[in-house]
Amino acid sequence: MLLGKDLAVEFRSRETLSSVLVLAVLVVLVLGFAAPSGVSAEAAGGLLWVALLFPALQIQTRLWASEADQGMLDALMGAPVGPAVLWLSKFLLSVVLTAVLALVLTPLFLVIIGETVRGPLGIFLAGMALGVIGLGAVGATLSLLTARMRLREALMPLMALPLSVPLFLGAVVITSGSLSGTPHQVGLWLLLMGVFDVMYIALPLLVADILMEV
Amino acid sequence: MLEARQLVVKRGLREVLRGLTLTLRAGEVTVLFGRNGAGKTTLLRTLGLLGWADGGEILFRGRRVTPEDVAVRGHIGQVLHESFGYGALSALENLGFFSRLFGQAGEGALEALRRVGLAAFADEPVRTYSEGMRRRLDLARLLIIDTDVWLLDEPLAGLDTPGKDFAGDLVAEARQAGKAVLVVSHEPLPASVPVDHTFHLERGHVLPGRTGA
Repeated sequence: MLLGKDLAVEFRSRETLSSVLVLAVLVVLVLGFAAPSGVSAEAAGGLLWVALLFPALQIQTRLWASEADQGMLDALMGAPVGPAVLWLSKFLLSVVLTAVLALVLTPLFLVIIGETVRGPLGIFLAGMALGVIGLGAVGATLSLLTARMRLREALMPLMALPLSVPLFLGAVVITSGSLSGTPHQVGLWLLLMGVFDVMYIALPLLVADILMEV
Repeated sequence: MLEARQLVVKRGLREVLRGLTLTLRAGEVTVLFGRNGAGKTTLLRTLGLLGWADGGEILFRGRRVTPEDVAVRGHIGQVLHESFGYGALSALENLGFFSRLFGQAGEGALEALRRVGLAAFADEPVRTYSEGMRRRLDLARLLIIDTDVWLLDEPLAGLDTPGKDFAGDLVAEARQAGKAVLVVSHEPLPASVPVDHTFHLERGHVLPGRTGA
């Protein structure tokens, strides 16, 4: 129900996804034109995640801020719904919106730079999925922490980027390896990303009541 | 019904509420006056379980409320200082969402909007509403959610004269229905509101018997 409401609000207002998609497409075009022809597959993986990361952070900054701006944080806290459920709904929204972003940007980016997935498609998709889920979890938590702050648009990326480094590294290694067709230490990096995701989902669920009061 | 015992709430080093004790009984209307910054909104937020006290306790039906008791929130209807509602959704959709959020069927939303005078605007996005219309929507929300306690922070703010009279009638009806009602207000309530207790909040304590801000 909460996710349905969030999607309805997003669909009606189009305040997040439409503007972010435009920005994301522009970033991809700029990267595509700026990258030298024949850019290596290893570099292409990194560029793809850079193109995804910044628009994704913009989506996540708005997750709770839109609730706070409309006075809805208090309204939700006054309802007989556990804080963990509230966080979970925003996490799911974050994952859905980031996944839409990835689904639009990834093929566009690969076409522009002339790359294809030469390695196993399953590994490529697993890396993308774990990356999107991890970004969604970090974003849902930090967005809540900064929702009531005046400088949230600046603070949110400042906190999210260092925290996402292990996830980002894993995602780049998996994606670059999949594009080049020679993925290295796939199991290790997928495991690291999986642990990252589980940790950043479990921790907020455990302390959701504290996060809601910040 | 809802009771605060020796409530202490701090903002930084300052104690906003200093050992405050207040009991809201079923079928009674309690009115709380106080100057700006006296802690009225803090008290309402704490009683409404939107924030936790640094000391003391809150009891609902004689049982101590803990942060884990989310179900207790389902018994408390609130009108907060600032009106709220999703601007992109219509009034009807907002009411339906809140009704389901409180575990109720979402029925009676249109009737509630008719009662508060918003039926003609039921399908309009809430972002197009004026301040008074938003306040009326807050009152409609109280009507569709079946709760035992009403905590009303400046419920007359932004309302025109008929709106204020209507809000007064609603409080009287709630009292009749056995709800415990706490109204925080700067301005006198309409004459139609039967007031059982009047308190004045001063320096973090409630003092009985004084009226006016």
